[in-house]
Amino acid sequence: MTPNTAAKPSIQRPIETPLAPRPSLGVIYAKPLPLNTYPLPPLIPHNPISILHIAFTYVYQILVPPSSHPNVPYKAYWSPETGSVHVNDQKAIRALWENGFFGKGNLSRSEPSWLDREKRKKGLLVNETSEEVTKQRREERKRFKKERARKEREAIEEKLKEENRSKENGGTATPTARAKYEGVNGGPVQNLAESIEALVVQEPEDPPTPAPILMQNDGPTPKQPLNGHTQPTITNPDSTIPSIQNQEHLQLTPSEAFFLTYALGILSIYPSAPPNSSTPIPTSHLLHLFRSTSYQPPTTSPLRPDDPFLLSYITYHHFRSLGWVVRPGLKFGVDWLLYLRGPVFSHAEFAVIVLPAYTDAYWRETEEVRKETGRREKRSWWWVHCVNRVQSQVRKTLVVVWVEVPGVEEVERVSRGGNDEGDVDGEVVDIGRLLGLYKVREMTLKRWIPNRERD
Amino acid sequence: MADIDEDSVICAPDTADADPSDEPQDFRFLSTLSQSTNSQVSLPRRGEKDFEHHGTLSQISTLAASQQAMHNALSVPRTHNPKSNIIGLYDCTDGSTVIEHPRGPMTKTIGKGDTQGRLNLLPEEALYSIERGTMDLRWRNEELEGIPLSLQAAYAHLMGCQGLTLERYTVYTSLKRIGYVVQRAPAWYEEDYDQDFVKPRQREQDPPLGLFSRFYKSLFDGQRRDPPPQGPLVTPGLYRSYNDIYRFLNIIPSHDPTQPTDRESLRSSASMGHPTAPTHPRIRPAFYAWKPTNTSDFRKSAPPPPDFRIAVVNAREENFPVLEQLDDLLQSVPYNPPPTGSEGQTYRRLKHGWRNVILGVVDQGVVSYMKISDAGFGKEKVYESRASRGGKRGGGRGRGRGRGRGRGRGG
Repeated sequence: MTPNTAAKPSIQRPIETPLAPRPSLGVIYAKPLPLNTYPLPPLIPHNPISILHIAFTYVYQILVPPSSHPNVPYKAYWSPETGSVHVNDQKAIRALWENGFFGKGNLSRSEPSWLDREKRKKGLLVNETSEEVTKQRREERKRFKKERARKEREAIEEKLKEENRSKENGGTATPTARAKYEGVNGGPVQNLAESIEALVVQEPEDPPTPAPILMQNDGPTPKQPLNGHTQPTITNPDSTIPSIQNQEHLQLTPSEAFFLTYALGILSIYPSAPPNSSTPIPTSHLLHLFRSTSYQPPTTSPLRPDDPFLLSYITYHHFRSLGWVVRPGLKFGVDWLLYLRGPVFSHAEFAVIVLPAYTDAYWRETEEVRKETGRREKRSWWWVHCVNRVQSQVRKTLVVVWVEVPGVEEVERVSRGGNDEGDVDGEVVDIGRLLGLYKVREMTLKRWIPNRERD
Repeated sequence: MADIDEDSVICAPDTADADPSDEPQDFRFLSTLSQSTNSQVSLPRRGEKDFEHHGTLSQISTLAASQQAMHNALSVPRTHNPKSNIIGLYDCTDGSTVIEHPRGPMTKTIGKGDTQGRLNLLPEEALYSIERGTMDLRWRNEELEGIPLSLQAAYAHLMGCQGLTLERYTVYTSLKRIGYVVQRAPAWYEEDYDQDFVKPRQREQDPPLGLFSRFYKSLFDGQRRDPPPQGPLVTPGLYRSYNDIYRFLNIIPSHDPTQPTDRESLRSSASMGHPTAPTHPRIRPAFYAWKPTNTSDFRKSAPPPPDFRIAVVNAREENFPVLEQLDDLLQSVPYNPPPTGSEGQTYRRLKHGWRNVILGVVDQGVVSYMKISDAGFGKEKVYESRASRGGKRGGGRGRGRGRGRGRGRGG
């Protein structure tokens, strides 16, 4: 215990002193997309200078037009092993994460924060990462629960003692029926609550027990690295700075990568890792690549209009184009999660599941096609309840997104772009027209509980 | 006693997030119910739950009190006053049930009176009344006249009669038992599915634009161009606001719930816009339900618009409906846009939706209700509200709003 208390200030001081004031989240994550806009300065009617300012900015921007895009598109490369797209450049990673929350750090939960965490481990001074905040919160909660359980236990013991005492005194150990009812309607519960509160007041000095964590750190446990290596590095923190190399990259799902490439045009994806890369993959080929790798194993047969990538991308693009921050929802058993402004601001309110809708006549034409379509569109009520139950547990609203799939001929006609020369290896000539063939419809699904809707 | 939930207005506690029927009951509340005889009874709040025996006298006495309350509630003698005995007559030729001398509170919400003062009951109404003990069913036909039917016989005769299935009956009784007023929806039989119960509706006109905004719009429309076939949709250039960029991104057609449906606009009167050869069984609301709180001034001859429209689905025989089925179903319920004044409350508007219907999914006697609404995300341009709100922090929900023990939500 004593070495612990002695070491504590020496750990904390270097961490606390140079803490730069963290800019507010609203400033860091102000831009909804990794593109720049140039609004005119605000007009202040009683201030003539503001008019001049507007005029100057307007003329200046005509003479030297600023661009919404970075001069060179961010570089990324396709990783066939993981089926994702990797970004290594730090500047690009920050830009993609902070402006629209694209991708995830491969060594982090979401925001690429591996380097920060490493630095903090070494005692270098960086702000807390979200992983650490979560960890802290979890530990706090655990401690709180332990404490609560202890207090409940103590309250019960107290009660037992009290009852034994009254029994010994020959008092009314067995309460009358009336006393029973009175006691039942609030009495003992309130007493219990009071006694718990009293216990809380009595013990404010109880240290928040970091001791067990330190005890475990005698051996190097990978789970608790936070305190494990602090002491050796504190002596000469500067010497370790250059030794940390960022081992983390940003990984984008195919839908995110395609959105950044096709819709925003700020990402160029190379077929292999940086030293080998020569020219970026053209967008039409990229579409084909993502579509064929959305099957496991990647398919070489002709692509269906309802392949998993297209359905998922159409949904992704649809919600992105409405201004939502869309992120993968695997952890909640759904396809996408919708954030109003982004994960750092609030929880996702909506969980999206994508379902194909075979409304085109093509999908019911022959008996064979009809059977296959029926197999593909079939979802049991048990499955729906599974998905919905998970969402209500995490307080999200389930959104079923129907993507109406056009028929095969229609897709082929558009893919060829009106002439026969385009469709050499399944590459789509006009992607916009292809996506325009699909139609999206959202429905929210919620368990309805008659008992709670009575009034 | 039998009609306690219909006669008295009980305010259910709205504190718990969970389904009250999922929780173990604390029956002590029963004692307060039977003690007070006035009609306005409120359920007491439940106390803390004990999960295990810990040997204190107070816990033992609590348990004893709870058991005693349960016992008391059950041991109240339930008598059938011969004066209030209602006799229904069952005609097996057409499956109809008639009450010659209707009495009691149930007549307010069920059955259909005729000119001779008799009450005609539908099969589900008759069965439910027998089950509750409010009615005796007897034969009406010549040779058997006056002989009572057992409950089993009533089930055997009435189930499957006039379109009543066991699934529909399960939903009907589950709602009736908790006090809802339930009536058959007009599209009960399949041949009525295409009858017009939805009022025609015109496309809502946007308010006329002012001179300035029309000018601005023309400026913007001029900018609109076809995107390059290989992208990017947003070409490098000078953009004044993110709204402009988002407008370029919007290329995927989506359903517009404000548009009148084929059915409402009567585009083709022959098929009413319905699938001429539906590939899946069609679904319609089987029941209309009214909340128990509004029952005092309920008139069954002229019922107000229902609070809920409930379709019944057999979970074993049918899968989760496909879009065609849901579209067909949603077209048959009236347009119900988000309430006025909710503008800007994105979550609320999206959760309310533009049309909604409830599906009662029945799996061998167990009902699970699902509410399906047409969300209309395309009508809520999040980027616009974000731009107008500027850098202000909004929509934030506090962390750690978990309920109960250590439950929150991630993501």
